[in-house]
Amino acid sequence: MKEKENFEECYIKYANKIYGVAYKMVNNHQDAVDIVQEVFLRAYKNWNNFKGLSQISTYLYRIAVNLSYNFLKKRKRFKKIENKDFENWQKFSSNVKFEDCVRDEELVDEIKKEIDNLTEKQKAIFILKTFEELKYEEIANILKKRVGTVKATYFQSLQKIRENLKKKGVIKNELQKG
Amino acid sequence: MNCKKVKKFLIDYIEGKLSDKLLNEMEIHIENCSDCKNLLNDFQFIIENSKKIKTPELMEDFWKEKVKFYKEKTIQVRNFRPVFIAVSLLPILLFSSILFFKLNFIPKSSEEKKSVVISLFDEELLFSEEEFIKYADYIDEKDVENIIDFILDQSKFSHF
Repeated sequence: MKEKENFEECYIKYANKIYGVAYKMVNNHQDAVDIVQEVFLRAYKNWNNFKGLSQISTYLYRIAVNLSYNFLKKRKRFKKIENKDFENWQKFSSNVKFEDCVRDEELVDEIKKEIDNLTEKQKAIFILKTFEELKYEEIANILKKRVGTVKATYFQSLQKIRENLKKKGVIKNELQKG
Repeated sequence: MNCKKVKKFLIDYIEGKLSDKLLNEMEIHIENCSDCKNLLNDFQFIIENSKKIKTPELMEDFWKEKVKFYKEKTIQVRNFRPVFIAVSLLPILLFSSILFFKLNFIPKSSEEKKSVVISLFDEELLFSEEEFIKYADYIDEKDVENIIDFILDQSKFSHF
């Protein structure tokens, strides 16, 4: 990857994916966009060291997760509970209709809350596995963990979400409906 | 197959990554174990519904705009970086070169020797006799006499 002309192409290709991960991690549009910009700034500086697109995507995901960790730590430290910012991205995103978003549905909202309650590591693995649909090997590579650890953590996160949803009666109610 | 083993392979089972033999064993156990069956159903339910959580999908134009700003920023930084470095290094270089020439300049002609000693004296850089001797090492005896005479004439050598 010697030519920086490829950078723009790569940016357009991956920006939305990286945004998706960052957004689910930090739950805020502007912060997620800032993370995307920082991720690509770092990638730009190291551009000549990349040997291929697969290496770049791993790097981008890794930096996005690490920056999200930092952001969450900072937010915890200052005990700032930021409001979820949907208005800012609405003006940039003409193809998204709010009424189509299922986040308002009680069930999905409850699951979303439980994902937010996971530890940072569990959250990152859950997001990369469930939403990005990455392989365990890829996630292990991104997070520099063993495949076994990633699998075990994913299992733990599902179990944690399950237990909390059970306590709230969400799972039981849904199954009864089914 | 027991419940512990089912838990170990449950994620692979959900993703359809098990061998036929293991898959068969899992299915037989799950069919007959309500705990494992509930666990499997709950996990599938969570995964399935998690995928319904939407992230705002931003249009390509949004990112095109972002990458444009980003590129402009990096170009600006790249263009001005050598200037910043040069400007910050310039005073240091200037100061150190003046100091270097002042203290290490070895005069060649008698006139040069005389002027150097006087300027050092004038600028109070030549503090003592030792300092003077340091410079005197580079000059001839005859020159030393001439210089001392000159300085005495100037009435500036009283502290020697």
